[in-house]
Amino acid sequence: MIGVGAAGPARQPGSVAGGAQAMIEPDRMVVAALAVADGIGPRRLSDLLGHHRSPEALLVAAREIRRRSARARGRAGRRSTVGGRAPGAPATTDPLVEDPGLVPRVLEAAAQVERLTDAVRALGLGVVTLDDATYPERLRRIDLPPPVLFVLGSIDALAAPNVVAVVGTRRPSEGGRRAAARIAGALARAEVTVVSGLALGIDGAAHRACLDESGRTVAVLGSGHGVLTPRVHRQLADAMVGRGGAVVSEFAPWREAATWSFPRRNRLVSGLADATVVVEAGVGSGALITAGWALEQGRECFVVPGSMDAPTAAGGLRFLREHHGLARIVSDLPSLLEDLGLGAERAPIVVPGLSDLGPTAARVMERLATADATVDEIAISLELPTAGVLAVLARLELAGLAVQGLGRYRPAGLLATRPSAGPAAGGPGPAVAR
Amino acid sequence: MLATLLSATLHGLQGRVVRVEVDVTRGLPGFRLVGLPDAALQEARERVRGAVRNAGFEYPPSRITVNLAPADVPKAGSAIDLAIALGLLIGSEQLVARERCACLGELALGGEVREVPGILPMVLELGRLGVSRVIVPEASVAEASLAPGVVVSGAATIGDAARILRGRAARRNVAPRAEVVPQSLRSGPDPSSGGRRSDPDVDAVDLAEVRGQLAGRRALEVALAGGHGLLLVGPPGCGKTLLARTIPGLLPPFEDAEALMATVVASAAGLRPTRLVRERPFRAPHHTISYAGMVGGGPRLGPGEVTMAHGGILFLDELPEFGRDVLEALREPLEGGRVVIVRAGRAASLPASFQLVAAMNPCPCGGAGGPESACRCPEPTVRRYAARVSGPLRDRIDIRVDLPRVPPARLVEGVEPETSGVVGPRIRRARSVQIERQGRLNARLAGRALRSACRMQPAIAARAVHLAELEGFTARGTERLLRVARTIADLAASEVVTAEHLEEAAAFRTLRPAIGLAS
Repeated sequence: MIGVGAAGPARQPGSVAGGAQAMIEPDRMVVAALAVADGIGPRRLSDLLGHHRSPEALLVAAREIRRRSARARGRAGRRSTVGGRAPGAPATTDPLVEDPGLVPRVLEAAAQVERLTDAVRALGLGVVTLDDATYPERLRRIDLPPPVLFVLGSIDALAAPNVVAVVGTRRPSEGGRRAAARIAGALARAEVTVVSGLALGIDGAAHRACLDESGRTVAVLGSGHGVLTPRVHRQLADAMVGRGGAVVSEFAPWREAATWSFPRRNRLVSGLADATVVVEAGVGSGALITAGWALEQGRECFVVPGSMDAPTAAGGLRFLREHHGLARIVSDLPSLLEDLGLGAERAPIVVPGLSDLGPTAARVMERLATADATVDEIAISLELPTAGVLAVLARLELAGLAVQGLGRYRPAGLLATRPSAGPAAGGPGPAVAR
Repeated sequence: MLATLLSATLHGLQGRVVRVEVDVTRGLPGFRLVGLPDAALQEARERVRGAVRNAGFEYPPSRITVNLAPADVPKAGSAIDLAIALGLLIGSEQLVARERCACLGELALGGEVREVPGILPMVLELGRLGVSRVIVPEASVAEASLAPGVVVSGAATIGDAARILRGRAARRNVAPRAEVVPQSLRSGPDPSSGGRRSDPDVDAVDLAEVRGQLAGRRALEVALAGGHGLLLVGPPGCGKTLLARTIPGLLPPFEDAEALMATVVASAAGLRPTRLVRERPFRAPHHTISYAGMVGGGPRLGPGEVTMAHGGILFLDELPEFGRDVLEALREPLEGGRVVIVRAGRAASLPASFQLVAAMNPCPCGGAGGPESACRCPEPTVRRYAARVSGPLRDRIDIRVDLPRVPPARLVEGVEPETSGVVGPRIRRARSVQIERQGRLNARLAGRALRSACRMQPAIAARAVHLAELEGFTARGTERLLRVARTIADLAASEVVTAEHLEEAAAFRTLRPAIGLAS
């Protein structure tokens, strides 16, 4: 297991990879160091690793090239060898040879391996690479997935059958905060893993609501773990990890958050989830970047609409307009859950196919459609057990086909308006079954 | 001469041992009682004087000082009378005590020993501190004998008590009944005592007498099976009260440990139990009850209705008619199962873990739900009426059921309702399943424990979220739904909660308008 927050010793000065943390294999750390190095993007990293047998071999090759070029410079100073293929080298497309500028960057990264290993160990992080089975499947499917993820907590939370991102502005209205909490809470109750960015405002509200419902929730950082941003959410992050969730970052543990790091992080937020829900977003809000990424990545995107006059709604509304037909509207909580496919059994109820509610329900509806009735009347005239009648009536109420007042159930919705249902329902007199 | 005897007072439900020191010396005749006695105790002087004289002893013309130790604890009640009188006799050398025993009892001027409330907790406390023999009023012998490990002697008069102290009285140990021997506290329930009510004022109604009201009957069964708070809403005459009065016949008897506690409560409340109280209490205070009547109080910090309902049912008929402070006072016991009474620097914490059953009309005039436009209440009045049942109370009500007017007789005719003898065992079984699984009734489950007890398939859990929509999507509403569904599953002897169970639970949801919806 890679992702589980290592329970290893905090800092062991001068210790090399010991038995206590077998997961921190040198190769893995080399890959991690390359992934977080400046000037080596995911694409070039995958080229490099694809060409060389192992990360170790890559380092050996890089050192060899540098040594040779130094020697060449020393022997015949007239020619800058960089750019030319070293004589005798096999005719390959080794990216190191193609682009010799990479060599110093690779070697610089190699020099960081020890620092990175120490930091990972000190913070108790797990290191998950693209080659690992535990690498989140959803993220693997986006364009240029990050080669390495640093994980505090349980990466398994991201392998849940349903993962939904809930994002929004850092300065929400009270209503927005409440909406985020309600949505995240309902998702948690439906055993959905909620992903967000640990930011102040909507993100934090979503994480917290998820915890309140004992759900699992994952944060994606715009910084390294060692400089967790925002700092005030440190406890929240710990709580999430404590409850089976995780805090994930693609940045080196010491990397400070920067204006460019958050948009880059947003790509992971949407990429880790099946769908992204934007709760409140002003114009230019980072949440809209996440939403844009979701559509780009072929994921669902939902926006909670707001008033035309509310600055916290302006960005979301504009996004809806610009992505007409792609981004969807959240009209109410049940329909959001339904749209997310979390309420499979609800759909047949709403659909006019009345027989879908079950044979008992059909008989009760038949009885109700003629006139309103009490539980007694229904149970006795149809010879059904009381418990069953109560269950069916609740089902009908949920489907909007019946309402109850003072112990009498009356037809509603389709049931009240259905022309084939005999006498028009809703008559005032109490119904008496013969 | 100085005489020292042990006695006790009652503090809440707890007996407190008091050392009675009586010093009879030469000097100006007089009687001083020190050690923070209350008014009733201060008057012990007069009772003791009368009783001693009229019982054929001499009231010594000496200086009499009575000290009640510990001196800094206020003492209340008249249970110490007997000890003072006997101390007086010993101090004036009219009596030589050969036996060492504690003495409890109030004195009449004629020398008779009268009963006092709380004999059982006082004897229990004396026994706990190692006293092996206690003299109690003759009428309280049976009650006092419920305390294990203490030899109890009954005294009808001071003379009897004096004889016992002299060691001349035959040791009249009460014949141990199955119910009174100490071992009974550890043995199984006594079949001979189950089912009978100690309080003849409340006749248990058999469930078969309730005609129709199938939803109400079912709601009651589920509520009792899981210990859920129950609210019955319906017009006058629809059978709310009748339904509630079937409860005593449906509840399982107390287990031994609970029975002792219930007996202590009954004793402290002055109900003078003569055997272990096995029946769960069913308290139905009138809505004019005062705050002190509900939570307890008085100089002895005596138990109120919430404590007397401990382990049983507190039935509040006409719920919105109760005083606001009275309803508010239910908050603490409903949350914590205890109530703390504080009076003038003294405090007592009394057990008050009861199941709430309440009934109310849908509107103040009660006409709603009847024939058309029978209700003439203006809408704000109705809203205010319903709003009186607020906050903490509503949170503790898991099940609400709306009872319609009694349906036409011919509809119900020919349908034989189930009797209490059928429904009671079902309730008992469901309760024991819960105790076995989680050590408490479902009504006391919440959060993670609740979710794990429900053992729902993921699809069913999603269904629960939908049904929670009817409850306004609050976390509380969802929990309420799950709790009730768990109980319904237990009644059906199902290990897992299914969609059907959830749906039935949703039919009992509490979030409904008080009055019928306009059509």
